[in-house]
Amino acid sequence: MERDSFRTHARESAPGTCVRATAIVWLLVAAQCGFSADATNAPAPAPASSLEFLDGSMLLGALDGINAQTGVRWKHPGVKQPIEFASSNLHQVRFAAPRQIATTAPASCRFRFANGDEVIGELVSLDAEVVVIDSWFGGKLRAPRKELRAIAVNGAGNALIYEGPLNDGGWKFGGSGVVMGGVARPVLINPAAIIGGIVGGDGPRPPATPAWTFKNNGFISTASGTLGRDFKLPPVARVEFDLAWKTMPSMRIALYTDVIDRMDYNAGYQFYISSSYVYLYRRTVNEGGGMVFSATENARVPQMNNRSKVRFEMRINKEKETAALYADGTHVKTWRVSGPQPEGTGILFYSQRTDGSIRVSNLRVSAWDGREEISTPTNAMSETLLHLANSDRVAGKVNAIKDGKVAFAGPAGELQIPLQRATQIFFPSDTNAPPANATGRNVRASLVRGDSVTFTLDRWEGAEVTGASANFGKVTLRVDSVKNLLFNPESPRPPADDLGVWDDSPFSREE
Amino acid sequence: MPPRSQRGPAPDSFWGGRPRFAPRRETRSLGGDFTDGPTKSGVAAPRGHLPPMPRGLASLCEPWILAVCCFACSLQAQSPALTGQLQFLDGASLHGALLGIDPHRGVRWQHPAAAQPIEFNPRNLQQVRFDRSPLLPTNSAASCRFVFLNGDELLGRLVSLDSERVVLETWFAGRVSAPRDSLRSMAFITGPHGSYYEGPTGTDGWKISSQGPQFIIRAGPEGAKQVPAAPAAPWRYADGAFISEGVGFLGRDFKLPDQARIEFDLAWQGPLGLLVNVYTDVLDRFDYSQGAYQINLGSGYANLMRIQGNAGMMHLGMAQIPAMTLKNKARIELRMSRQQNSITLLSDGEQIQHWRDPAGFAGQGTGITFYSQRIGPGVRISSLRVSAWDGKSDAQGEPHTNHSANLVKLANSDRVTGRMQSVRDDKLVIATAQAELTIPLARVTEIILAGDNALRPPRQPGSVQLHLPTGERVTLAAATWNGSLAGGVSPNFGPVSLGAAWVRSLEFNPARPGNSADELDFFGTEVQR
Repeated sequence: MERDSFRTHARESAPGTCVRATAIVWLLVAAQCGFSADATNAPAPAPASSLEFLDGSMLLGALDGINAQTGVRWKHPGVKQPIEFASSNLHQVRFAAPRQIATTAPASCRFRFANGDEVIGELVSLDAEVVVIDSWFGGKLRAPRKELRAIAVNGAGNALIYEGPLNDGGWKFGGSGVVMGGVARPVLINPAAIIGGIVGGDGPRPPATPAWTFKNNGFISTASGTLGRDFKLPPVARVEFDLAWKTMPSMRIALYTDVIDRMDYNAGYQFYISSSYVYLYRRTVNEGGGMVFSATENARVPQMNNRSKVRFEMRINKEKETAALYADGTHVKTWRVSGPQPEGTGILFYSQRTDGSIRVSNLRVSAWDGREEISTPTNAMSETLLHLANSDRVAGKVNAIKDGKVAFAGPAGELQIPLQRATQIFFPSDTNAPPANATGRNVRASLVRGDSVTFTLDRWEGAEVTGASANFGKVTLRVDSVKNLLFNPESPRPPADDLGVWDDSPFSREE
Repeated sequence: MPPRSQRGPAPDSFWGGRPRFAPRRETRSLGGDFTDGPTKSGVAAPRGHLPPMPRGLASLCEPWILAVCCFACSLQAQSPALTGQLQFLDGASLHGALLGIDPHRGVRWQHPAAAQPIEFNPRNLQQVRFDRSPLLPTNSAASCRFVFLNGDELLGRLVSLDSERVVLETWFAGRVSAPRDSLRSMAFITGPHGSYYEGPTGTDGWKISSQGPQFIIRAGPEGAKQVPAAPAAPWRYADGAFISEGVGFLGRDFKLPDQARIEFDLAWQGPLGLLVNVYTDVLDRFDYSQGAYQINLGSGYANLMRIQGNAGMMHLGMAQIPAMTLKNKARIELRMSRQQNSITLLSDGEQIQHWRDPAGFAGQGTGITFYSQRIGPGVRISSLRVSAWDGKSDAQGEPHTNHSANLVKLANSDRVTGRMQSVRDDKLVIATAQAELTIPLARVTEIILAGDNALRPPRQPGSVQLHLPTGERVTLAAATWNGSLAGGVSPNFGPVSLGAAWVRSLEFNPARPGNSADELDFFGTEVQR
């Protein structure tokens, strides 16, 4: 059973005696109203995965297995036996329910290889021939150094706080519903009269319709209302989510709010999305009692005019008083927000439209080390480029990396630089040499923590998938660590078509 | 099943559209030739495996009878599987070819990447849309449109009607009869009817022209900036639909009749911005020198504009379509009448607005254009059908009518209410509260037997609705399909079969809303429920 990943314990402690009695009362009440306490807290059934073809076909179902003889075996609810498909015509498998891998494996570096592989892990060592990576999914991986293109060194604070939603547990719903324990419930005039099964007083009102409902790993709003949760946001954090809509959205996202069950215009940083514009508001009260608005300039996200989905990312650095907005991975704007910083640690989504429909999904909340990515050089390089945390950069050669130190041969001779002082290392690339690719048909597995590995798949059975990687040799992955499996990565993809599919399918095709 | 290595090469991809499946050869041996000499029965014994036949049966083995049987069997065996798209209630879709349908095995479908044919439970299916355009009947002498309570619609000729049954002549099944209580209405056709176009099935016959800008605004690290727009055709064709990818025209001359119905499925993302020009001869640009009409479809509204030759455009009216704000697809229908100077807009079967042009009918051309106003993917147009219209509206808004009181509409706009006794020899007999009337059928325009509140009969499990090119729909229970023939039991007419070439699409489960995948049972249940 999937659960939302959460930095602190998400489960509530066992109730005491008084709480237990109250729970019994509510159970009786719920029974009277036709509700079941189990049903309200039970997770939604796992949605199906999708199998997509190069000809544009798509089937929902579940992956039964893969091997070289039978190809891909797919279980479909409308077919008795698993269907076997040759992998030559396949585009990808997308697994609907994000896997949550409980791991304490450190991940201080991100490694990028010439063939597009990306691995998150610890750099064990690097010499003239080999780079050794301690990965969370495959243990110690050895790869040819000549295939390595870049290393990004993460700061200490990039821990994942939340990824979901997988169900509606832990969320508070406001607006047209009554908020109790995270789920809209009926309002009872005289709950004391319910004890013993006798309904007294005015009796229960019909349950109010929440403005937000959970479906297919996302929250859908069809009315004006709020959706909030306390994530215990650290002072420097990243919040990412997919926003989809049927009519142009009009909504607010409040970060660092302490009010998560209704819209409070004074709480937190407030991003206001209206059509293709995004505004940032921070409203505080000055000494004279008047309202002070900070950061009211708008940002434009023009792709919202001709699409129905955008992935937003907000990066907040309270220490530096900055708030940055990204749309589909591209930086849109950074605001400077001076003045008193908000004290809350929650996030609130507020839909203002009463006639439209918007969907929030693929929400990811993480701590952030405050470092900005540096664009990968596009030109061929003859030297290694080392970027440092103080914004310096040096060109030269990395002789070796071991025990957390980079032996860097630069203009001033060889230096021993602590790896933690580096932010990114770009290795020279020979654009004439093709990247290493395993022989045979390749697949690219995208893993739940953001890694991607290309390999020739041998077998996908039970809990394991095995194959051969040109970079790492024999590969064995846990099945539940894969969130996407791309077939034939060298083949052209069919054009995406999101038109009219949103209300019929949990998936829309990625562009 | 033998291992893959022993099965031979997998079939190719269907990109390219040409069917590539070898037909199933279900030939039956009738024995060898008849040259072994006479048997004791006196009949030439066939060489081969069959025993000598009795004299009576042997007479059936005359060569000409055998030739007819062989020809009939060859028709079955040689019909290639029709290619198309299988669409599911959960939003999935699968290219391939329909191999067959039967009540016990479900829908048999072949996909190029599948090792063997797939048998789907039809409970989870939405429709089969074929790649090719169906044949259009050319010899139909239909004079009446019959609408049945179960949603079936047929074009035919009314032969007779009495208290129990209605008899009609159809173009595809000859004379059929149905219980009178199954019939909802009959509308007599007085003008041209039939389909002018069903598609799209490709870009042939269409004009596509770009009107897009040279530059677009794109967000970047340093803010929004102007970048060159990617040159591309503004419309592309895929899987039975045109998809807009830029600003530009999609046009075709349909030779529109004076009264026409134009229907299409419209899907969009982001704000909707589509201009539909009708009765125009200019298919690739804006041209205000010739009269036409323009319907401007936006998110939740429609505007009707009259294009007056050399006089610009005049706004005739606006209509709100609130349902369009809650979803991103709709079936749009326009009914245009030169005789009535009218334009009627429907969305998902509901009449949105009826306009009458006080200045007369402006349309001077016979074509239709679609103009996308958005840069990038914006709209998709599919299931386009252009047909002649008889100028009459559907039998909506007659809630007071029920089976005990029928409504007869006359050519002079009079209405008669009563209990229809019979229709025979071109005469209609109706018992009103005052008297029994005999009305010549030529004076009748429409007969409504059941109002909107009539109960729709429940659909039997495994039923399939055949959509024919003329807009007709026939529901068949225990449906079968073998590539050349579609058959089954019509709840209205009994056993029916017709050629597969006439079928535009197959619809399963039309009354069921789209399910999410998590609501579907996994395999392990019976094939048919």
